[in-house]
Amino acid sequence: MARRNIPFLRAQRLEQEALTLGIAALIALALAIWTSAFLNGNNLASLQTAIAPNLIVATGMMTLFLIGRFDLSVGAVMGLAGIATAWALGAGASTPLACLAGLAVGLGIGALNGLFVAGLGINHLIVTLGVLYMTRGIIEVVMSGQKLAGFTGFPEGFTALGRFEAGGLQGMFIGAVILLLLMELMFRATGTGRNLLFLGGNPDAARTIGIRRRRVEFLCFVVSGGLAAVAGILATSRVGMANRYMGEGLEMQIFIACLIGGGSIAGGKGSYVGAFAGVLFISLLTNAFNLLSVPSEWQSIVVGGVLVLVVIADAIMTLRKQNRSWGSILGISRFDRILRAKR
Amino acid sequence: MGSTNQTVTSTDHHAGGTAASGRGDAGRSFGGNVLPLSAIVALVAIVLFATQPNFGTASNINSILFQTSIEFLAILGFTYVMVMREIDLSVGSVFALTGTLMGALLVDDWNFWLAGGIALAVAAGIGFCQGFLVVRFGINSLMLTIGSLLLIRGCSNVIANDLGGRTYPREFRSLARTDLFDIRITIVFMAVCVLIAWGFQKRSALFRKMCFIGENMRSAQVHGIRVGRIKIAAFMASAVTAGLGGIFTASRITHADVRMGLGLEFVMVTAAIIGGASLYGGRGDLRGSALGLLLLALVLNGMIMFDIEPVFQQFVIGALLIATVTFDTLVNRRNG
Amino acid sequence: MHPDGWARAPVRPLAAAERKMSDDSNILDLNGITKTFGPVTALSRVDLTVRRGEVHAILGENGAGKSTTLKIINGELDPDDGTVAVAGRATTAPERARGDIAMVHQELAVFTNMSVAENIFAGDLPRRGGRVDFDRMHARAAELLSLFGLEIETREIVSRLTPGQQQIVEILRAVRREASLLILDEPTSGLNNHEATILLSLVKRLSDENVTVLYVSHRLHEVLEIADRITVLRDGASVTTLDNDALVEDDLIRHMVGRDLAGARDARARGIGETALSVKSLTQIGEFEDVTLECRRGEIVGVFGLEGSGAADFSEALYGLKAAGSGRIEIAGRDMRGAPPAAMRAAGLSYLPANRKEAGLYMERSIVDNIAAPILDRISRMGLVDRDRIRKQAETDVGRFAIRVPGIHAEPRQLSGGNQQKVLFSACLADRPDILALNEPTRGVDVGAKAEVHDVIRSEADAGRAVVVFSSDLPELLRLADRIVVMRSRRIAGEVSGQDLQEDQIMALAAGTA
Repeated sequence: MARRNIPFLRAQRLEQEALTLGIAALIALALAIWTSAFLNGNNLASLQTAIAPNLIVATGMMTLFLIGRFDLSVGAVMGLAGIATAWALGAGASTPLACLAGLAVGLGIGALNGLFVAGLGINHLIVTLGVLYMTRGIIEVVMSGQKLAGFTGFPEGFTALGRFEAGGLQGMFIGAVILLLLMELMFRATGTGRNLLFLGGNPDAARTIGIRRRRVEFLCFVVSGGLAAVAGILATSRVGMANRYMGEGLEMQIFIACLIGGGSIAGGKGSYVGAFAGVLFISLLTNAFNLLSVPSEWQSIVVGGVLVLVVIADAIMTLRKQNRSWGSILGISRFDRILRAKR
Repeated sequence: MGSTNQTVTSTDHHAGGTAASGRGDAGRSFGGNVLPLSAIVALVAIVLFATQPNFGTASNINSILFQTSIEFLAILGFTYVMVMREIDLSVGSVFALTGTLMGALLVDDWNFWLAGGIALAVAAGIGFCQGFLVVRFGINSLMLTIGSLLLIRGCSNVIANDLGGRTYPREFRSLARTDLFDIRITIVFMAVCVLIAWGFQKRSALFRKMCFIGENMRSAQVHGIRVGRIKIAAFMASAVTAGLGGIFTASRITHADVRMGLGLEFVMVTAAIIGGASLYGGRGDLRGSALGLLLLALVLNGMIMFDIEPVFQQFVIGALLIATVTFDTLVNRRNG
Repeated sequence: MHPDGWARAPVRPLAAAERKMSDDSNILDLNGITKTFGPVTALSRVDLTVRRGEVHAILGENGAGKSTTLKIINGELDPDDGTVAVAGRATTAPERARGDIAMVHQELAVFTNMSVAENIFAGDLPRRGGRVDFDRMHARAAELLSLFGLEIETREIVSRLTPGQQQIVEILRAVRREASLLILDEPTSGLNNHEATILLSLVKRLSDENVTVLYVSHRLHEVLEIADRITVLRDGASVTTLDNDALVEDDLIRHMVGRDLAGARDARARGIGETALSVKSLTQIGEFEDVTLECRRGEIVGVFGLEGSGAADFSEALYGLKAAGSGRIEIAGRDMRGAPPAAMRAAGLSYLPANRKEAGLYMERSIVDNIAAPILDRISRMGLVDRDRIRKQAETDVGRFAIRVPGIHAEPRQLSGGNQQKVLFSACLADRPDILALNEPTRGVDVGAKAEVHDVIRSEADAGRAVVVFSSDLPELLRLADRIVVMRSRRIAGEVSGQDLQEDQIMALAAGTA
């Protein structure tokens, strides 16, 4: 029997992940060479703490991407969870209890998303968008009496949570990476992980092989909400305040990071390594803009442009896989016809 | 799985059953359910009118209609993009870019009409690019326009930051306050558009083609419908009408603002779906979209009247969005 | 279920023979099954007995009750009346759903994003500890694939396989379960002849293994080739069960439709006119190369090719759905290569797509809309549609094509496959084209409707239209076409007409043995 060798990256479906990771590495390299500030301890520390919550949120988002869903409420959930934790601390709760309160908010909103999407079958874009609005509304109401900085002045025990570091490595960053690796292991090696891909690849057929779609979907939304809450709690602990700005617009950043890292909104594609690569890419880009003091609006131009390019490249590669020639993809044959008509 | 049963049984050659009578034109008509929505809008208006003396004042009603009519400009093309099972999330950004760009040109002492023409041409160019990419490469428009949303927003903010806080010239500021028959010109425009849309959706071949494209693009292609052209045209229309709305908004707020049109795309999605459009294409109604915007404006206005925290508005928009789609999903059992 | 899956030796002819002798009880007994949906009776008192180890075929037109019967056997539906006994024991639907029955549905249900091995073992990945045992999974999958002579790498992503290979992977998933009853619903509908042959040998092999196979297919010759016994359903009732002994296709057709159909080839004497369509050296590298074809008014030209021959790509390029790099497509003397479908239609070429659900129908729009879709511009004035004309056109077509519908506002999804196909034909013919390119005109259509569709095609040709029929159904082409162009390896392998129109000759050309 003829056995063709299939390249490792294709067999493991890591092609786009490798590419994104490579580009992120190039950015890091370029920054290290051309700016003195990049390898500065402070910068590396702040980079890690900026990446950590994003990684955690992206882990949840990628889980949903695998099954063909996404959650736009994560940024707002992150904010509300931080506020809930801060509020509980202010009301005299102990640190663990306050964290539980924050986590409960995340799990609760995740369950709400899951209930509507998995239970009632409502489109996930609509549900999570609506929940994003609603959560932001709640945040505004809660914060309406507060000063701009929001809740501050947390006990030592709580702030230590996000500020733990050892030898230049930030505790929350290490934690986030470990979480991500564990998820990757689950996804690659266990039946549960493969089932996510089965479900994302063909939801109808997944039912026939005994995957309970609604249950898995519901749980994934709960996981996504819970992880967003964890990220919110850690970020609150790190910066020492909880205000209405936390996590604002984060959903789009994470969404884009997952896409750039190899996820697909159609589902059945992606990996946690890819989520890592995507977050790293976006965070390094942000860091580069800060170090080079480029105005923030240029950042959205670049990120948006990168996304547009990724989407176009992906579409062209899909067409190429269908054996379409470059001429027909780019529409050169059309010009050819016009020329012939003129002759 | 009721439909499967029907396929198996009711149309058996020899059964000759007439049991399942067609659902008639109502099954999937070319247009939405405007009547029930009108009733709801009227009901909300009546409740507000009866309970809040401030609601019925001419200035309040005028201001609600004015607000709605400007947003209506932006939802005009957007609705028809949705009919074709595409989505244009860049409307808010194009809205901001066009308005800000025109303002910036006028600050630089350009001719009024030339500046407007250039700004709208830029919008049309953006719409063309998006439509072209979607058509030529088969790109998912949701993903593409999320990218262009950021990209265009960035460009718009570059211009806005250049301008700083400078006010636009008087000529531009007065544009939004132009009246026709003592009514704001955008309100008149909205009324005319709704009437035209009525006929357009009922009778025109083009709207039918759009619905066909939205329901099954490949069938439409086989049937010789020029899918690419119609889609590109719709994306252009969406960008240009959003640009028009942006020009009027910029004129109204009198200076560059980086928050202009922020999140507008999601208000558009909400209103269009309330108005009968579907994320799964094949449906949509400009009259409904207008009513959807009006309903949102009335509810928000009512909340202010009832002294409900204005910051709670976002909550209400979110809840309305979910409620509408849930209702639609449960009643029509559309899959997705 | 065997706890160790496919670990035991797969082929044991002796053991199988032993079992066949020792155990002759029925694996399945359907007795007086009745099922109604609302006012409509789908099945009335259906009896079916399947013996252990046999290949049992179920035949019937669409709407005859095959799908409902299968669903009941597979435990997806409960009958209103009657009993279903498995291995002599009466069972309920949930028991059967959990039990020892594996069914491959008609719709493709593969996971295109996963590897071949994962698809085969979907739902039951081999595990060791808490982890998936990938080595064992790939080894077993390779074993299974090589057993049936398939050269597919088990780590390959399924999206890179041909549709036929995908279908086989899906069937292997059911085979892998080693159920004692395997139900195959139209398993060859997406396969080319080579793959269909592999599948049929697979079925025979399973039968040797003492697996009972319940086989549903429209392709009568397949059924005759592999079935031990054949049960014919008609109008929701079981008509008869035949032993497959010296049966010929006409016997089956007679039972299925309850009447004799017109004989094989109709001798025609129709006037053939001037050239309407002329394709010259049409080439798209890698898809089809140097294709030259002519079709004259009143002529039916068949194009036959196995999967991968390029015939399917050529058919789409002919209508402008796909690009063609060089060559000419001349319609009335004008070169139309590269023109979009809209321009092709305007030039008088109309196209019938191969898969009506994928492209061709709007399943949730009324029949009126479906028929009007291609002629919207013609029936509009100043962009406004003449709705009376649309309705009249639809009423005429429903009568003309004898479409059995509840009303012209019914939606295609409510119709049977045959009637859907007729709606598709109405849309295709709505603008009275000069040239027809028909792609698989009777795919998934039952015997009765097939004959009606053939009549329509002939009468269109008689009316002076040039007709090109692309079909993988060779008997159909033999019946219809004046001459048949055969494609192989992206090129035209030859042309057959007159006395040479014989199945074996054409097949030899297509498969490259001539």
